[in-house]
Formats: sequence, C-alpha cells, structure tokens
Amino acid sequence: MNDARFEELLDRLLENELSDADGDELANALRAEPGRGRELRRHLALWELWSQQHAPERSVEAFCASWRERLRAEEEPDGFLAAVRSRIALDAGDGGTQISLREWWRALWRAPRAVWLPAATMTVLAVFFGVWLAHRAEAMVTIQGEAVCPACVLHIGHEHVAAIRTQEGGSARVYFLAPTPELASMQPYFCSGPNPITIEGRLVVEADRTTVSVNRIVAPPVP
Amino acid sequence: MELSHSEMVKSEDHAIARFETLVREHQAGLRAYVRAIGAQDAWVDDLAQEAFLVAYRRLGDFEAHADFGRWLRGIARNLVLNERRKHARRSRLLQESLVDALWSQDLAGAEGEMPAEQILRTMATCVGDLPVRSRELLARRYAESIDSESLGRFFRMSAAAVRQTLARTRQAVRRCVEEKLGEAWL
Repeated sequence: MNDARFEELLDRLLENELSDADGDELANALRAEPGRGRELRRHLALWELWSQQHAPERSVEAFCASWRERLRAEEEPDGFLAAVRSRIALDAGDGGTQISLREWWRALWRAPRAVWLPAATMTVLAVFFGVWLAHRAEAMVTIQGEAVCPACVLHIGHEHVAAIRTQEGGSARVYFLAPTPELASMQPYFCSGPNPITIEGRLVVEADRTTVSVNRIVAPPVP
Repeated sequence: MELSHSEMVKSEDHAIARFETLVREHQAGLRAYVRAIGAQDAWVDDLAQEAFLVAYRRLGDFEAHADFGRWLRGIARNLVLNERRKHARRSRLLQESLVDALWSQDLAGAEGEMPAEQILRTMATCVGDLPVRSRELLARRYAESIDSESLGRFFRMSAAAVRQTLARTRQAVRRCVEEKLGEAWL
C-alpha cells in the first residue's frame, strides 16, 4: 500500500468514517508492513491525548468524577438492598417467627403419622409460599430521587437509559430502571436531568448490578 | 479494634481519595494506551474507568515497589482481550480485523510508560508552529467534536478540503513529535 492510501485510510479511521472494507484493507496493510502498525498506534495515542486535553467533557476532572460516580453506583446498590432487607425483617418480627416454627416442628415429630404426613406436605407448601411472598415483599420499593441518564447526565456510559439517583447519608446511589415503553417516551426527561421523580417498583438483583422494574411512576414529572 | 459504621465510611472515603490521586496521575497515559491497542474513541473512557475500578478492588494484589502503571496497563490489556473474545454485536473495540492486526504485531513497544505530559507539551509546540487555519481546524475538531461537514460550513471550506487539511496537519504533527521525542515512546 502506498503512503497516500495508508494516510487516507488512517484519516478515515481517526474521523470514524472507516467502512468495513476500508478496515479490512488497513488491517492487511498492517500485517504486510509492521512499521505501519506503529504509526497507527502513535496516531491513535497522540490524538487521544489531544482530545483529552481539548474536549471539556473528557478533562481529568470529568474523568475522575465519572470514575467516582461509577464506583458508588457499583458499590451501593448492595447497601441499599441490605437496608431494605433489614427493614423487612424488622417489620416481619423475625425472632418470634423462628421460635414458633421451631415449636411447631417439635410438635410435628411427636404427632402420629396420620397427622405428620399431611402436616409435612402443608409445611413444604407453606415454606414455598412464604419464600415467594418474602421475595415479592423484599423487592417492592418506593424510591424518591432524581431522574438521570447515565450517558448524558452522569457520563458513566454511552447508553441513553433511565436511572434514578438518590442521596442517602451524604452519598449518591444510582439505580438503573428496567426499560419500558413509558420510560422510553420519558427519556428526554432523564437526559435533561437531574429532575425530581418518585417511582414504585421491584428490585431485580443481577450478577453485576441491581435494577428496578418500575410498576408505577408515583410522582410524574411536570410537563 | 472494630470500626463504627461512620468510621468505616470515613475510612472508605479516605481510601477512594488516595486512590483518586493515582487515577489522576495515570489516567491520560492509560486512556491513550487503551486507544492504541484498539478501543473505539467513544469507549476509551469507559474501558479506562473500568480498569481503574478493577485496580481499586484488586489493590491488595498489587505488590509494593512494583510499577503501578505497568500493572494498570496489564489490567486494561486483559479487559480489551476479554472484549475481543466476546464477539459482541456492540463491541467497544475497533473493527475486528483491525484489532486482530494490531494485536498480531509486537505490542511490547506500547507496554512502556507513556510520557503523556511530555507528549502533550511537545504536541503543543508542534501545533504552535502550524499555519493559523490548521491550528483553528484542529482546535474546533477536538474541542467541540465537530465532523468535517460542520467544520466546512464554519470555515467556508468543502468537507473534502477539511478532511485533507486535517490529514496533512495530523501527519505534520506526528512527524514533528517523532523528531523531538525520538523513538522512545509507544
């Protein structure tokens, strides 16, 4: 590949205008002439550094602020979940329930088989029902906070989705809201945030983050 | 001695603040490194922040007196490697064939500490020697992330002329930096 063609493709790459065919052609040139690879890496690094220094949204302050925000967003949903769990445990009166279950279990062992078998079946069903109820109860939450978009408001990603930021104990927490058509239609409200919002929904714990499946927007934004 | 909740929060805040000084020190070089090994420009910050998040959580694995920047670049390199394996439809990397070609070469030259501040100072000198129109074009292109069409309207040039001027300008700056810094970078 001659220099002019290489520079043309390189420039398209730096301008995000490289087609797949151009990319394959450039890749072949890099394989054929290893020196081109170094030149490409240098250009990528140079103009990346230049962009960091000249684009305000990429300044060191913006980068560090996004990093802190992301650290909190990733750390604190667990804390929130723990707080919800403990509140539910308190409401349910955990200790008393454990004692009565234990006494019921002892009484069952002492009972004749005719009583024991149906009772055991009922116990198993009751446990399943209890777990299901507890799961539902644990997950339902009302969150009051600010409507924000992780991309345009928090700058912690590139996906324009709905999220809610809360302030608790002097620190911020961010919960991603599971997408719905209603939330999608409200995306401009999240992108123009932070704006006040209150939602009611269910916490969904995933491997890497906690999201909220919104049942109802309690305090809809003022049009 | 057990710490109270507020003491633990303060201790955590202190740890984050101390780590942030490392983020500030290494972010420019790490972002340039992530870009140089194949990240799309729009995802560079995302990947670099992820590397710092991983480093923060694994700080216990970092050996004292070791090279923190090198450790960090190793984490970033693994993140990019994982991204390559994903074959995700919405990859944060450049086109697959291009990334493969970049990685098929000896990346050892990219592994050393990137003297980001020195490079930027040198670039500023080189850009300062350019014609006024080229300087303004570069400034607007990078400060406002404007495409060639919009730049052309602003400078009363065709988009093709903007692209050509930018291409020549970039080559001139790269050569100038190489002349001033020699071969001892990237």
